[in-house]
This record gives sequence, C-alpha cells and structure tokens, in this order.
Amino acid sequence: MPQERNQLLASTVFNLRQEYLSKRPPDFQPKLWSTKTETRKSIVITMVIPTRGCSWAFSDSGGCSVCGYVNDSSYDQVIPTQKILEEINLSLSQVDSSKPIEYKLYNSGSFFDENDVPQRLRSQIIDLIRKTNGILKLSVESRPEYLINNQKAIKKVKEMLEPIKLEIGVGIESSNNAIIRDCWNKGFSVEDYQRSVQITRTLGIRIKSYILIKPPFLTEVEAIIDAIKTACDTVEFGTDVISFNPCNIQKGTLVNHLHKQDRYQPPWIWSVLYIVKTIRKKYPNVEIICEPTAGGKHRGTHNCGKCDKTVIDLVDKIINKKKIPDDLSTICSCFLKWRILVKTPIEIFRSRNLSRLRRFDPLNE
Amino acid sequence: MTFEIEKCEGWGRLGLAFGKEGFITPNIVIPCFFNNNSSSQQNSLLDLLKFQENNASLTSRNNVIMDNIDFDYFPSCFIYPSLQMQGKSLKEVTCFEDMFPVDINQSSNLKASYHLIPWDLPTIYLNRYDKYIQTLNKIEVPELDDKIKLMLNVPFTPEILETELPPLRPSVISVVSLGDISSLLTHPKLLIRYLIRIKSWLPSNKMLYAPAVPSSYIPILVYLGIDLFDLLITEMYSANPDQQLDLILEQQKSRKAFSQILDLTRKAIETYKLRDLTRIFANSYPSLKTLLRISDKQIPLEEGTPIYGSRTLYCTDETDFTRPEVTRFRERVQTRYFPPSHTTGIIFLPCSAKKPYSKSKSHNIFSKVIRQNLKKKRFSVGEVILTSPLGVVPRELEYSFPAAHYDIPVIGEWSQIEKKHLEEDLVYFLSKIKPSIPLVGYVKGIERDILKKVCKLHNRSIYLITQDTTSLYSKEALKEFSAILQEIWLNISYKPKIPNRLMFLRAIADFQFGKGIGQVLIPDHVKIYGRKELGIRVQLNNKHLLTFRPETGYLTLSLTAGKLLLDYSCNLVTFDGQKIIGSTIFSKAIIMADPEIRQNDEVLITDRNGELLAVGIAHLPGKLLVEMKRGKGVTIRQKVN
Repeated sequence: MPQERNQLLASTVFNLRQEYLSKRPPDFQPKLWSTKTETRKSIVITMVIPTRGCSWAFSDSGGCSVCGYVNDSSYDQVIPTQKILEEINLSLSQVDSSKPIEYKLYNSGSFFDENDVPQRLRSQIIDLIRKTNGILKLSVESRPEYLINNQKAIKKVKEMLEPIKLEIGVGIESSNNAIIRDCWNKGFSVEDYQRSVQITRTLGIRIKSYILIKPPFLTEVEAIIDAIKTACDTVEFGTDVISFNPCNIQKGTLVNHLHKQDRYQPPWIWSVLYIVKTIRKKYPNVEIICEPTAGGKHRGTHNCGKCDKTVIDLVDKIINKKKIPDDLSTICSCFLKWRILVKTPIEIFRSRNLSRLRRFDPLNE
Repeated sequence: MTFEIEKCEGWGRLGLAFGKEGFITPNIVIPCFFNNNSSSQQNSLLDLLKFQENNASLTSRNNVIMDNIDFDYFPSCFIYPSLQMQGKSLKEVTCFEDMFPVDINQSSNLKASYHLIPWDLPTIYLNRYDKYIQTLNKIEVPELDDKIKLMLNVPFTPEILETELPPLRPSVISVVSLGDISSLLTHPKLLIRYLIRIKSWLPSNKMLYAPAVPSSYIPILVYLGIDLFDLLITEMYSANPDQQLDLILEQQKSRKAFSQILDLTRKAIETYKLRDLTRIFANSYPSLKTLLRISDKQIPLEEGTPIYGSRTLYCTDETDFTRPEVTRFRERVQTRYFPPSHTTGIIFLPCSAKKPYSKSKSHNIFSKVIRQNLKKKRFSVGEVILTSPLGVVPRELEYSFPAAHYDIPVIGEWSQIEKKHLEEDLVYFLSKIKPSIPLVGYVKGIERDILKKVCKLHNRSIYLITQDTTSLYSKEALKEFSAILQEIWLNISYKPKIPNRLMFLRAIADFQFGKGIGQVLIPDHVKIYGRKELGIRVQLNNKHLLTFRPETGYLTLSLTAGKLLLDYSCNLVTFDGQKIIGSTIFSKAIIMADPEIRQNDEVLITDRNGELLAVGIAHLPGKLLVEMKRGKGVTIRQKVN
C-alpha cells in the first residue's frame, strides 16, 4: 500500500516515539486490563490485550501523532499468550448471562495484522469467544490496510463467529487527506478507508468509525469543522457507528511534546458537545459513541474544571436523544469563554493566548 | 511596496500605506475571516457550522460601524484557512493560486486589503519556518491589484529566537503579522527578543501587525515598531460579561479607546512626543513598564530618535534617565566635547529651571560675580553645569537640544541612577582636563557631594564652598565664591586670542558632526555676526557659511560649509543621479547614506563620484534613507547650480 506521509512530521513523531520507547525499563510488564459495565440492554466487557503492538507505530514513520497505546504493548518482548487467554477466559466466566454480552477486544493495534496478533493467538481467542454463551457482538479494531489485504482471514473469523456479530473499528480521524497526512500522520488516505469499508460491509460486518477530535496544529474552530465534516463523510461512506474520541495527551507522542511547549490543548467539552449535537441532529438514526478518555482531566478534554462532569453527562444525554437545556450559558460561565474562542478565532494567528482561556484570563494571568 | 515613512521616533514610524489615497499608520486593520459562498465544497463545510452568524461582526463589515467610528475607512485583513484545512500540503503547492481557496483579486472592490498567506501547519508547528519561507520565495507571484497586498504570519516560538530566517524575497510581502504577540504581553523579556529578531530579519519598508492587543499597549508597541493593530480584543471582552475588569481594563473594551489612543499616538509621533506618551501609558501595567525599561537597554532606539524635534523634553520618572535623547547627549559630551586648549580653569555651576541656563536669574548672578572677579580672564575659564539627567553640560552646549529643552521634577533628592550617571560623566570630563588646571565647584547639596567624591577618587583638588551653604544666592555664599575666584586668579592666563563666539560655534560643530569637525568647518578667519540668543551667522570670504539656530542649538550648513566637510565624510548621502531637480530628494533615489545620520541632521548630498550636489536636512535616519523605497528622504537647503 502506498504510504503517503509528510517527511517532517513523520521523522519528528518517530524520534519522539523512539526516545520514549528506549527509556522503557527492561523488566517492563505489558499492560492487560479489562472493565465491565452494565447498560440497560447488555453487559459491555472491554478487554485490552498487550499483543506485539501497532506495526505502523513501530515503523520508521513513527505512527500516529497522538497515539501512545503502543507504550503498553509487548513490543520487543514475548507476547504473554497464555496470560491473555487466561484473562479472556476469566472475564467471560465471571458474567452471569442474564443479559447479552457485548465483548470489546482491543489490542491497541490491528487485530488482523499478523505481526501484531499472530494467527494462532487470533484463532485461540476467537475459539474462546465462540464457545461462550450469550455473546451478542464482538468488537475489534484494525487499520484499513489489513482489512483490504487480509480479506481471507476476516472472512474466516466472521464465519467462525457466526451467529455472533462482528464489528470492526477503523480510525479514520479525518476525511481530509491533508489533515490525515500533515496532522495525524496516519499513513493512509480516505480512499483506503472507503475501500476497506466497502469490502467489510459486503462481508456483513459492522463498521465503527473512530473520529478523533482536535488533531495537533488545528485550532479549536478548525477542529470542530473538521470533526463534523468527517462524521458526515463517514456516514456517507456507510459506517454503522461513529465513535467520537476527544484527543487526550499520551506519553511519547507528538501532542505530548506540543502540549509541553504550550502549542497544543485538548479540546473543550463544549466543542465535543457541539459536534455531537450537530451530528445527532443531522443523522438521528446513526449510532454515536462518545466516551472521552481522561475527560475532565488536564490531559484530556476539559472545560474550566467546575462543569466538566456535567457537560460530559450532557454529551451522553444528546447521544441518547434526551433533551438538554437550550441556554448552555446557565450551566457554566465558561461556556461564554468558549464562545469567545470560537467567535473570534484569534487562534487563527497561532496565538496561544485564548486557548488557555478556560484556566486563565488573558490579561490577568 | 507602497509604504512610506513620514516621521519616526525610536522604532515607531508615522507612515502612509497604499500611497496618497491610502491610510496613515499606525492604524487599525479589520480582520475578515474567509467565508466564501460561491465555492461549493467550502460552503457545505461551513454550512455545518452555525458559528457564521456569531461571526457576523467580523465577516461583515457593516456590523462593525459602532461608537461613531467609520470602520469602512480601515483596510481589511483577509484570513484564509490553512493549507491543510483546504486539503492541500506545502509540497503540492506549485503556483500562487494554489495557496488560496479563491482568487484574491476578487476583493479589489475594497479600498485596501491585506491577504494573509495560508499556513502550512507542520512547518510552522515543528519550527521549520525557514523551509516555509523558502518555499514561498520560490512561488511566482502574479500581478496583483494595487489595493491588494500580501501578509505573512510569523508567530512566536522559542526557536524563532535562535534560528536564522531566510530573507524574504523583496516586493512580495508588505506586512508581517506577529501571530503570538498577545500571549507575550505579560512576558516583556521574550517580547523584546522576539521583536529584535523580527526587526533584524525584516527590511524597514515592511509593516508589522500585532493581532489582538489591548489598546493601552498601543503606544509602546508603536514605539517598538508595530504599525497595525486590530479590534479583536474588544470583540473578546464585549462577548464576555463575566470578565471582572478593573478600571483601566474597562476602557479597553471600547473601540473608541482604540481610535483615541491611535490618534494620540499618531499626533505624538508628529510632535516628537511618542516617548512621552509611551511613558504615560507604561505606568498603567507592570509589564508595560518592564517593556519600556528593558527596551532602552536592548534596542538601539537612539537610531530612530530625531536629533532635535519637540520643544520640551520632560523627564519625569526613572525610565526617562535612559531615554535616547538623554543617552545621546551624555555620550556625545563624553566623546565629542573637549575643553578648548586655552582653558586654564573650570567652574562647576548648578542647573537652573529656566533654559538656556544663561538666561536664568541665578546664572546672571553667577556670571556677574565671575565677571567682577576674573575680568577679562573669564574667557579662559570653562563653565560647566551639573545637572540631572544630562550630567555634565558645558556652557557652549547649553543651547543644544535637549540641554535647553529638558525639565525635571525638582525635589532635592536624586535617585541612585541619576547619581551614577553624573559620576560617570564627571569622570569622563575630568579625564579631559590637565591636572594643573584649577577646579572650582560652586554647587551645593548632592552635586557638591558627587563632585567631591569624584575629585577625591581621582586625586584632583577642587575649591568647594562650605558645606552648610543653604542658598547659592546668599551674600555669604557669593562672597565665598568671589574669594575662591580671587584665589585662582593667578593660575588663569589672560584672554585668549580666539574670539569667544568662535569657540562656542566650534564646540557645537564638534558636538553635532563629530570630534575635530569644528576646526575644519569654521576656520580662524571667518566673520561672525549676531548674538547667541538671536542666532549667529557666519561668513567665509564674504560667502555665507553657516547659521547657529538658538531654538535648536544646532548649526545649519550652506553649500560652502558642505564643501569644507566633504573630505571628512560625515553625514554623507549618495544620490542616484547627476543633478537635483526640485527641493526634495526621495528615498528611492538614495543609494547610500551614513548610518550615523539621524532625523533632522544636516546632510551633504553627493553623486556617485563623490561630487557635492547639495546640502539639506534628513527626514529619516540613515538606515531608513537607504532601505525605504518611497517617501521623502532629504529636503534640500542649497544646491549646486
């Protein structure tokens, strides 16, 4: 697959990534964790397994500019296959099957990448899941190139799982090729994504599109415009689920580097709310997910610090088509500050002053 | 480049952009965010965003006519989405049209507009500004409408202070916007370094634009070289009722404050009072004051300061002790003034409120005592006035700006810095006088202490009056003064052969043009007419040579004087041509100019072969005379027929 990239960006991301990974202690334990949440309809189990790690992140392009998930993967160590299988087994055995289970299996890379998840491990995992009763849906993630090149494997997995539904998450992040290349450093194009969607959909697999909110370099307004446009485009391409992910700052990444220099700020929750609201209004029937990582914290999407939790709840309400107040400024005064930021996009001069509005006054700093 | 400078002070300039029909700078520009309804893709993109209606005050110019200010008068500044938002990358850009989402010539129905060149985000954020500019330099720029100019954004990064920026290709970009300046306002040290960096990279004929700064920062930012501002900050505040503003901040909310302060600033440059206005505003914020205090140390503001100009020079606080006029006077006295060779005695006198000193009551009394006691020998005695903040003012230079123009608050207490300056100047002065020459100090209080201290330090004996003298005009004190003068009588030689007025003029010539020039410019056999107070005319071989103007305290030259000075290559301006027609030389026709030339300096104009063509007055400092491509350069006083 031709990998378009911006050499300047790729080498910067690569250097930062290598610098961080080289500092990993030799006795590093790859991280494995799971969570279980119960919704009205189902039980959602999320399982994160440390496989080899994203091949794109380990390539000489350095991977995506915001992603630090590879930090927890096995990388140069032996994949703890046994441990992974035991944990999955354990997580499955603990649930009482009164409600159907949605199983989310994330490996911080591509599930269909042979270098990341060896074929043997993949079949073992699928086997485990197939044998468990009450599972409704399995969610995995993959970069589009593996969906295009590994059709056989996908087909096989799909057939093995029947009647369990398969959902594949693909990170598109932006439907603007220049932003994908010059901001995200994703290494594929919108056209690749489009093709992978077509292919997987013909196999009867659901597609979940990840849209990251606020790439590095873009201003708050630009990020909002880009996220909304991307969401609309992915729906047009035929995605089943849109997952909005406000950017958070992870170690060893470009955004972390920029954040330290005061040249990057995670998005406001107001922006997230605005995007979700717009898309919900435009596409009432599309499934939307938005569970901000580190929401309300300094390294994740946040507002002034007082209203963070309230506004994240509002995002949830909109997704579930519940009513929210019309006048948002009554919720918190920082809404007005956000309005200034998007009304007078002085950030357009690459000024850092207003992006800090939520914490400081520009003059009384 | 249609930018011309009419007057300047420090780094500040009063200019004219877009030619005669254009507008005066410093001024406001109205940022207009690109909003194109004809392009279908952009439209669908922006349609999604309902911010458009909120943006109305910025995008539509009609809405900004408020507070009785006609905003249509001001030029627009069009801001386009970055290349990435347009779906492009820098390496894909091959021609000028590629960079913009629309044909920028469309906006030519506006009176004047600047168009910000879209950014390539990675090169800016990853500090490869050099690469970005190099690419821009390679792009062929098509013929643009006269009312359209291009603008480039160079936001602050710590790296920009270190990296060498490639020179901008001339004639492409006329304005540089300082993107991140508003977040630097509370970091004056970085701000100064940033401005120095940009100024040293940019030729003087480019304008600078500071987006989103509060109105109280305008005077000092103009003084430091910014030409364009905007009202973004008022938009910010008016949209934010929550903001707790104090009284000073309150006024920054209004657009009226902006236009008033800009008006004031422009008038201040016109009357050479920008520095004073700067000081007034600097007192409102600590960071402004810091800015002003460190700018004197770090920026060569003296280059842009006229040699004379305003009628008064007020020194009211500590920032004024280092202001360019004061620093220049002290430095010139230190390096250019030497007591005449026949001087056989020095009398130190206190300053007076009335200027020039010799017109004051106190100095009349002093000279009466000196005349009575020294008789004709008094012409061999140098009189020196001790003052703050100018330090040491020789009697000959009492008319020269700013010695006859300054004023200070008199409280009888001196700050450390004033004391230090006077001490320094005294040390310099004493080093120029032979040890055998008697010194008399008819001063009291702090001046007396400093004089005593410096003389002791340098092993010089000095006659001082008793310490507890309360008034220098009292009979006792004057009696003591007479006694001292009688005492030194023997050491002083008789009246020198050289006339007093000649020595006076030579001292000024030295001070004005450089050490040793007085001897050359004014030979011994000149004829001198007139008096100091009313002006002196000097003739050489029945031809007018020069005039002394008491208002400024400087000499004005005739062509004859120019010929005498030609070999000493001071204040030379090289004119691109053989013959001067008319009475003004425009800076476009100036090839070379002495970098030591200051505004209002007397200059000699020569052709390429060094033949004298004319003498005149410089409108701009030497550096700008060469760099500017438009506007007045030199006004001719007298030219070769």
